[in-house]
Amino acid sequence: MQEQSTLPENALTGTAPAITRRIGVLAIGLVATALILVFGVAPRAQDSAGGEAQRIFYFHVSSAWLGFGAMALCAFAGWRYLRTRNLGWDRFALANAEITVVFLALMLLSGMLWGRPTWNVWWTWQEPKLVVSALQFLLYVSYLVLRSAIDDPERRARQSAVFSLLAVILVPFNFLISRVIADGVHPVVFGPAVNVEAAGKVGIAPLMVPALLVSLVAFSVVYLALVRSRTALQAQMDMIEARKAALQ
Amino acid sequence: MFDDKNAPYMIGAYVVFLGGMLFYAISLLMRARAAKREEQRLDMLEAEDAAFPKK
Repeated sequence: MQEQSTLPENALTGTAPAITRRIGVLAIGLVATALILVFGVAPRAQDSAGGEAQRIFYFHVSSAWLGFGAMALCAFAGWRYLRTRNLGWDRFALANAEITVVFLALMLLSGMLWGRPTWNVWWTWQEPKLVVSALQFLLYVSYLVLRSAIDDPERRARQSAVFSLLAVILVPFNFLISRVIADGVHPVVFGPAVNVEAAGKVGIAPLMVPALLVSLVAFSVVYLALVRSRTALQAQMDMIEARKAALQ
Repeated sequence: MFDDKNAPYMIGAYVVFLGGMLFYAISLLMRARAAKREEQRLDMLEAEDAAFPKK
């Protein structure tokens, strides 16, 4: 049964650009602080972990956090759309899908830049976590292509919502894969690892914690600024389409 | 720090991070400007439509 929409037409559309701008300024400040902590406070890692290249870890993990978080919110928005048929949720889902593509691309590229000096290869199809991550990136690129191929807004929103609900299944799979496959070489930093023999024992030193936490907070605020801007832009574009249709 | 043999990879990655985020933010800004221009054009067309209604 369809729920009555609880989302006002202007909700999630960033109708307060002044607030979005303030969030943007805060995001820039937090990213700058994170950079100071990454380069000024966090220690150099041992050579087996990449030496100076290990500093990629802080923004790499934050990009993954943002990308996977946006994927989950895209699916949540899709589910809400299917329940309420409110196009505001579809705009929010689109914003999250676009952010997912950007931050998964940053995560994959930075992972390759760490892998080259540490594993001696830019990419390996032997590592399941890398394969699943690449698949997720391609899925969300497909999501954007699918949307652009459908003209009817209701049909586009409905099919995109179903797509996002299916695609999000890979998020827990990606998280768990290195924790259950013993010969995976992707390091497991948090929680128990079964691949210690293949990937080596990795941990997080106390001096690494502030850089990582501030990076995670900074990327979360970057997400807020981007999702508000993108959702507001989509609302504006939908309005333009409606006005064009009325003129014809 | 920058003398390390792996420093170029670290620098490259941070160029990718900051450049990627900046590129996306600029793309949003440019799309917002294009939408604003489109709105102004529609304002003019709607005003014309109101002044000379179709029979």
